[in-house]
Amino acid sequence: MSELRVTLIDVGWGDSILIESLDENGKWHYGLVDSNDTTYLRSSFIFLKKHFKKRKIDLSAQGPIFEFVLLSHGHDDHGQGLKGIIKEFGTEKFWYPKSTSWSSQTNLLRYANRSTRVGFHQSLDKTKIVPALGEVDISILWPEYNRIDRHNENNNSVVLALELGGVSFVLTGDAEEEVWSRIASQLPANTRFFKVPHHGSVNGTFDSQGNETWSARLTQSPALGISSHPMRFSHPDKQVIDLFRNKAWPLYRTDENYHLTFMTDGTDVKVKYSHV
Amino acid sequence: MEDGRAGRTVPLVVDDRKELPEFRMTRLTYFTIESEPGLGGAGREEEKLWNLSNERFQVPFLLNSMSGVILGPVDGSGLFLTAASIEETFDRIEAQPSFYVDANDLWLPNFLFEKMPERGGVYRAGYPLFRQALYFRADMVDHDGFLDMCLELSAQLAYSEGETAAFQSWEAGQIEEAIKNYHDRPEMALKYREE
Repeated sequence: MSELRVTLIDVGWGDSILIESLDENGKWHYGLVDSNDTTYLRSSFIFLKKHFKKRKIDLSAQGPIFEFVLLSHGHDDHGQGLKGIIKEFGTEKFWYPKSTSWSSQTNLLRYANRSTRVGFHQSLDKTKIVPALGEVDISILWPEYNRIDRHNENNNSVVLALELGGVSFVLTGDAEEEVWSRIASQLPANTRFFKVPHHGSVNGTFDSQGNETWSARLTQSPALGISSHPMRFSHPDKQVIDLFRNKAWPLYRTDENYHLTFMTDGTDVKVKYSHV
Repeated sequence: MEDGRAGRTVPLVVDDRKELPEFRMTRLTYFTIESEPGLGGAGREEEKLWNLSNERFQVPFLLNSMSGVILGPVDGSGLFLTAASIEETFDRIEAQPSFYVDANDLWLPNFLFEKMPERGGVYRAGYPLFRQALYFRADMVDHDGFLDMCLELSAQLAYSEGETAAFQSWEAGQIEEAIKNYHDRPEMALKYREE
């Protein structure tokens, strides 16, 4: 039976999302979105190493483990550590949005330009057709072709919809209100899991008038996941949490629930987490 | 590298700036030399003996994972003033078996910056300021204590105009190379939707 699993790895800060797709032949396919590993705290790397060991994957084999690695946008808390992860596990494809400034992530682009651990790399936008991951269809909702936000890198975030059977999961990077004002109407009607944008900040969920953006478009009471930033910025914001509580949508947070896994067989959605 | 500013300061590249009521800080990136565990594995020719020494002692050791902060270019000139000097430094480091260059982040309060820091701008931080920022990043010092320390050390951050231009040129070169790689292998590229 086919299955889609999306795991928000608890990296304490930033994002790292493992995507797994089990096809009808019993083969697992892997994708990764972002990491925030530092020299001192290699949360994603350690999680992935243990996870693949549990899956009995031979990491000494030369072939890449990931079918794709995606940098959602060019901020440190989404791109740090990707180089070390790709060095270890390899990827067939490395994708990223266009940006006017790679800044701190230029070293990652340099690595992609010359490493044999990256099969091919290119920028993504919604005009591109992305191959399925196993039996999971992937579509790009954002960014638009050649549309680059020169002032707010968060709004260059790639927004992905993953669909298996009649269920869609949506990954959102740090996209803010400007993005949602353009694509909220395009969110799949069958969205059953939604990664709360920008770690639950106000501008990831509300517009400048205080109106909800993406959440007003979802009707199926989706499971929500937040990669929290409780330290430093107080993300998620209370206003955002109150909105979801009022809607009685199930909400899971990496700071409270540790690693979060959202699973579907194309019909039902289940959530697995480590502790409360 | 005692002959230039790189001997006393750390280059930092601006990544993002936050202007929240409770958090007014800029995130910056510094580059590190990382090594993979085992340094190439037992019996390999590249497995070398290193020495930790000062005027009073010397300890030989076998390197097994390390991280070091990059201060300046490999030619010892002190500052990264050309894209080529960045490229050569990273190349030379990564030519060592099991060594690679990685990026790490830290935060500095916005009041330390004379003008609004722009993404991609390069600054130099003195060791004491850099050390405090590392402690803050590792939650070893609290927010208010860090701000107090930064006030005392406010003279230890300087904009590096020449290095900003060099890093931007380096970035442009990498983007150009990425575009060339893409065009060299069109059969690998994603197809376009017909809409």
